[in-house]
Amino acid sequence: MKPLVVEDLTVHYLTARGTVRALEKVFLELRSGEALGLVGESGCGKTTVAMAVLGLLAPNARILGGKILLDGRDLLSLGPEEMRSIRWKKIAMVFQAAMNALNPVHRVGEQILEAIRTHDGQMTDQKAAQRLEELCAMVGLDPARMKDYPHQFSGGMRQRAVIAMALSCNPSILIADEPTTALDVMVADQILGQLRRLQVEMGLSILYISHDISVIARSCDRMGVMYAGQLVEFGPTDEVLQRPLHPYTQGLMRSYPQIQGPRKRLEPIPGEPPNLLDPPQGCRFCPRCPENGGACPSERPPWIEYHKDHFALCHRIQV
Amino acid sequence: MNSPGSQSLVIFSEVTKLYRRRQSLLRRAGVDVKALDRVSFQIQPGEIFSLVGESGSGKTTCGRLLVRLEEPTSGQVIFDGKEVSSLKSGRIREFRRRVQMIFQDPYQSLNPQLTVFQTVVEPLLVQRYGSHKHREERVEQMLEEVGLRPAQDFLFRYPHQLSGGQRQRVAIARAMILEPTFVVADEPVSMLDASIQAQLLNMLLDLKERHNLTLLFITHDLATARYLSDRICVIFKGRVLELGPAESVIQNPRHPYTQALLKAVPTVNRRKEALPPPACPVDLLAAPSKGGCPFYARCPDCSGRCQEQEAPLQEVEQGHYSACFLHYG
Repeated sequence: MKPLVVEDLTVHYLTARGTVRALEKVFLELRSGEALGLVGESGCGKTTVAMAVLGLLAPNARILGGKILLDGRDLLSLGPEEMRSIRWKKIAMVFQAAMNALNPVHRVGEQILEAIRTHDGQMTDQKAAQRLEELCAMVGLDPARMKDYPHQFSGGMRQRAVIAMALSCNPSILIADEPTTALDVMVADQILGQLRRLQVEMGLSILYISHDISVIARSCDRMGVMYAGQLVEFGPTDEVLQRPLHPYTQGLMRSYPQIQGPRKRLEPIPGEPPNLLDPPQGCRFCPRCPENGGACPSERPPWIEYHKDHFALCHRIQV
Repeated sequence: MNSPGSQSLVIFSEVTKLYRRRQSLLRRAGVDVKALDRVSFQIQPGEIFSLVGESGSGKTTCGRLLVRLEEPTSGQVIFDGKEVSSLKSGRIREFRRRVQMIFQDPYQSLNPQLTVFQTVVEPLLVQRYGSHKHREERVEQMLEEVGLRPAQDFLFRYPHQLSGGQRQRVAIARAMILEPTFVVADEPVSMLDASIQAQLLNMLLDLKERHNLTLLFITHDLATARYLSDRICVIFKGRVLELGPAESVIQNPRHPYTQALLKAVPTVNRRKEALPPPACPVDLLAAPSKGGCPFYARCPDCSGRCQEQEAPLQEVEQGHYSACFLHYG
């Protein structure tokens, strides 16, 4: 069961300063009803993947290759009209910082109703109101507060409202881009719990995108790790976190201060991510990699399945 | 409370800070918002002291009071034996040399029109330090120390030509160049990526060792606070709820609020829990309390008196304090 497969997706951005090689042959597979996480640092291309899936890439983006298959159909071959019929109805997205994009002069309920109506103009008032109530129950909002304005909502409630809007057309796939960034720890924990509930109880497939590996660890069945436009590791979450294969994933794991276990000195990855105007030829991590050598700087590493379902993009892994 | 006051570098004594909030554009008279409510703590020389809290807890206000960006409504903020808000003009220059602040957002805290050199040299000019040649050497030395090597490559760059991590290094160089005794670091790494965060946290630890600094670290992140600090102070809605040695607070939290906070922290090692309990449509920011414990509405252990009375900080073990009636039996 694979409702969404991204194959060898390559995307460049044409800018005044040159070509930004944002994605290089990225692979993803979202199974039906699963939670999949995509983790990476800022500028690694994780949001570009989501935008490509929704057909919302910026005008200066060029898709150089690859496929995005939804139920076997290649979304990249669809026209704008066909894409519109898929967006929100099949695949919906909660954008980064969307909770700050609610219109401040309209009541929250009206804004959710608008989302419901936009996609089904025929709906009667009564049906729409009923749908609004359902959505409130799904995301944990008090229907009595639907007459409030966004400024009367806390950050967590606004995030719930935005999730309700994304779910208004009953999509089967939800993309959540940094769903809890800027929320307090306890509120974030509740939002992630709510999304998990939607995934399990309603069979929603969720693609989480986050810079925070612990958010992915909490919520996802499988995860991918991105670095500088390449997908460097992919596998079951527990596998990836407990037996990381790629030197970047290993470095990332050593960079996080822990709340449990002994207090040990962090071992940061030296250096900074490359400029994607001129990334390294082969493995993009190689300038920062302790294992760097041989073909690393010149050849794209092979994508190999080292354990069941556990892949990595690296020249140097020995098993 | 705490250890003998005479040795403390910083003393917060019953500090309250009210902000007047206008009710509407037209009506001027407003309501007071209590950002800090009788906050007391002391920071010992050479320690890293973390203030941990959620947004709106008052943690940043503490930092701003300390560097004299704000004045307390009541209570005293004392630095090295002198009350910060009543420093005479002659003393202020000295105070400004010894106390520095690092801000959260390196995209906003650096002047985009100044080069790295101009940004870092400015405090030296204000303090009338040495000759031009001296200052130049000092700036280069400082940049190397914060990891901008070779310094020559960075001197004449503008903030927009730097990555987030490099900008924060510049901000740290600027804060450190006058050899301060005490630095307030307000979420200095929260805007940065994990691998860069780790680099900067280690650098702060090294700077602290090398220069014998005392550091107030303000953060929402308990894991980072644990990594850096000697002691942690947990603050919620302007009140100190727990205070103690970092390991003790993390491993053995005593206040129900700290316990809830720790439970909510996602970790890399924690496996996914079973389905969470049904969501409760509760507005977490609401639930105000008058005079009682600020956490009572959400507290699993709250009792009748929590609503009316607040529990004073009580020493629950050596140097570890918690403000909860649970400890009173």
